[in-house]
Amino acid sequence: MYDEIVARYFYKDVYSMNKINKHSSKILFVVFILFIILSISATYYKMLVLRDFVIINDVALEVDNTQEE
Amino acid sequence: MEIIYCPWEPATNLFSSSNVPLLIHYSHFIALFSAMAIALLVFLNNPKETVSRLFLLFSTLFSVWALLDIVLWATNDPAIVMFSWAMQVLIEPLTFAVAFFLFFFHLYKKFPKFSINLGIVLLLTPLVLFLPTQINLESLLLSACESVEGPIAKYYTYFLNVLFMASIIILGIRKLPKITSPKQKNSSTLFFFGLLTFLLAFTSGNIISSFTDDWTISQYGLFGMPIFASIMAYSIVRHSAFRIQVAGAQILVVTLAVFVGSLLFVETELMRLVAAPTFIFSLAAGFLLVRSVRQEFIQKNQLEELTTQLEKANVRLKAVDKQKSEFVSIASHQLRSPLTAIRGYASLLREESFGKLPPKAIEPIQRIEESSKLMALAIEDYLNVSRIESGNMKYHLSDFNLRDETEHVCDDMRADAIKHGLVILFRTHLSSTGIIHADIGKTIQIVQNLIHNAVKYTQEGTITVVVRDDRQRKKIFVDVTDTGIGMSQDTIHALFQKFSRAENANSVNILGTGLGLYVADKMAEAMGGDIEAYSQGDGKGSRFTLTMPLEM
Repeated sequence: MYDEIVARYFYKDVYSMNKINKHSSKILFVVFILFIILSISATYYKMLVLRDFVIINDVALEVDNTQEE
Repeated sequence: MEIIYCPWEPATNLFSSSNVPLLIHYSHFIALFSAMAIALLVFLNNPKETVSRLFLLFSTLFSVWALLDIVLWATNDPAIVMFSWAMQVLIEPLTFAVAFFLFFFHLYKKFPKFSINLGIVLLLTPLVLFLPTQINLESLLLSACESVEGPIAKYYTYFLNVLFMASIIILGIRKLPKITSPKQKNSSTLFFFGLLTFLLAFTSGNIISSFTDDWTISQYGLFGMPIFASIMAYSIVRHSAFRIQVAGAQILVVTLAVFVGSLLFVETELMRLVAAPTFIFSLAAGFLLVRSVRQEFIQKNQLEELTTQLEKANVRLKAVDKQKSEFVSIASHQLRSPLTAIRGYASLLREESFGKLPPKAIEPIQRIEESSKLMALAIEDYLNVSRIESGNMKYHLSDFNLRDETEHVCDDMRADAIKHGLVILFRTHLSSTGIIHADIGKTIQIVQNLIHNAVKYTQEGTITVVVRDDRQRKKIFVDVTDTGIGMSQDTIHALFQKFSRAENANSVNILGTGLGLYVADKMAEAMGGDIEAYSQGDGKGSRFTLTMPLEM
């Protein structure tokens, strides 16, 4: 009943409501894809350009240990 | 700043290095090429279908993931490892999300409602948001050249994978039993299991590897991918009901090409020399195979379409013919009743039952009587056609002497023939008694019709009726030979069809419906006999022969 009233007075008919629903999903996905592209770009810039990440150099430690021996 | 590398030689062309086990190339390249090839085939066969598009997206995501995995094994650059690892963390749950949409669309032919879409996007948001941060990947362990996974990579992605798989299972359990069409149910069930096994093979190896830190396990899961992708492709193709044979041939060819093609990447120089021509040969043979299958498919389709049209047309024709027969039957009955009254009163008038007629009225009344008699005969023909075609003609079979009955008919019709200036001669050449087993009334009607026609189409001369038999063939014949207008061979061929009349019939001003011979022939056929016509040509007379089975 409520849905019907909403459909009739706010969206004119159910068809328009479906259309609005379809469009909002489309907008949602487009925004989300842009968000993903932004995040990938940020990761690319951080990892490959800035090389900004922690390296646990256990190889060096092993080498050092060998030298000490 | 000095760049630190992992302790092995750098990768050549991103994918090859001494660090990559041979098995990785086999498991990954075959899986990703097959998945992409199958998805592309499905997509190209029906690019407008949303399921085809989603399947392509799904396979592309998986293939990118597999490609990144090879890069991860090959490279010794920590930056490439960190970036590729992060991308894999993002792509894996995205593949599962697309799998969910793919299955939803396959079942419902529409996307989920906005609230579900929003929920999925919100679930994926932390993953995207924290992708470049240490919450996703904490650090890189140089000795193994592996990322140390943070909470997002280690727990959240796998939580999402399990969540999407559970949603797919719930969807399947809820919707699959409700599908009524058996074809669609089989296709959807096949798709459901293909997708689930694909996702299970995809995620199980990674989850185990993530927690045991032994990443060699993850490569085994990918071996099943071509099979699972083929199952899904098959169900999509079957579901969309297009070119199964063509798609099947294409998949076969592509799989063969992928297997041979993958040898080019991984084996020794000598193997490549053997693999390269084999690859080219398999591509060429495959092209020819696909082309011939496609042609055959198109022809088969056209043939099926034409057969269906023909069947429909046939059914329609039969219905129309039946309606026509019913119409003729009803109309003829309606016509016959008033005609009987006309004939009766005309006859009474002519016999002066209502008083003496003025001399001028006698001829018109005779005409009324003759015309109504002709009309009654025509109506009788229509009724007989209607009865024959509706299968309602009744035959009361009994033994009788055809010779005697034919002679009676000749005697009866002789007076009419004399009126036309013709002579009817009756002859017999019998070695048997001339007994046949048939409907006496119908047989007399046939003989009458043949003699009546002979009288109609002969302007002068004689009509000879001969009854003869052939004991060996157990047949008896009634030949009606006239010296009339004759017929061409073309006319003879069309003579026993409905509404067929001799081409020169109008030249001798003869009335008729063109149904008499058709009815006579059908009656003779129904009693095991037939009628044949012979003529030397126009103006050379005709002979009609009624053949009936002889009772010995």
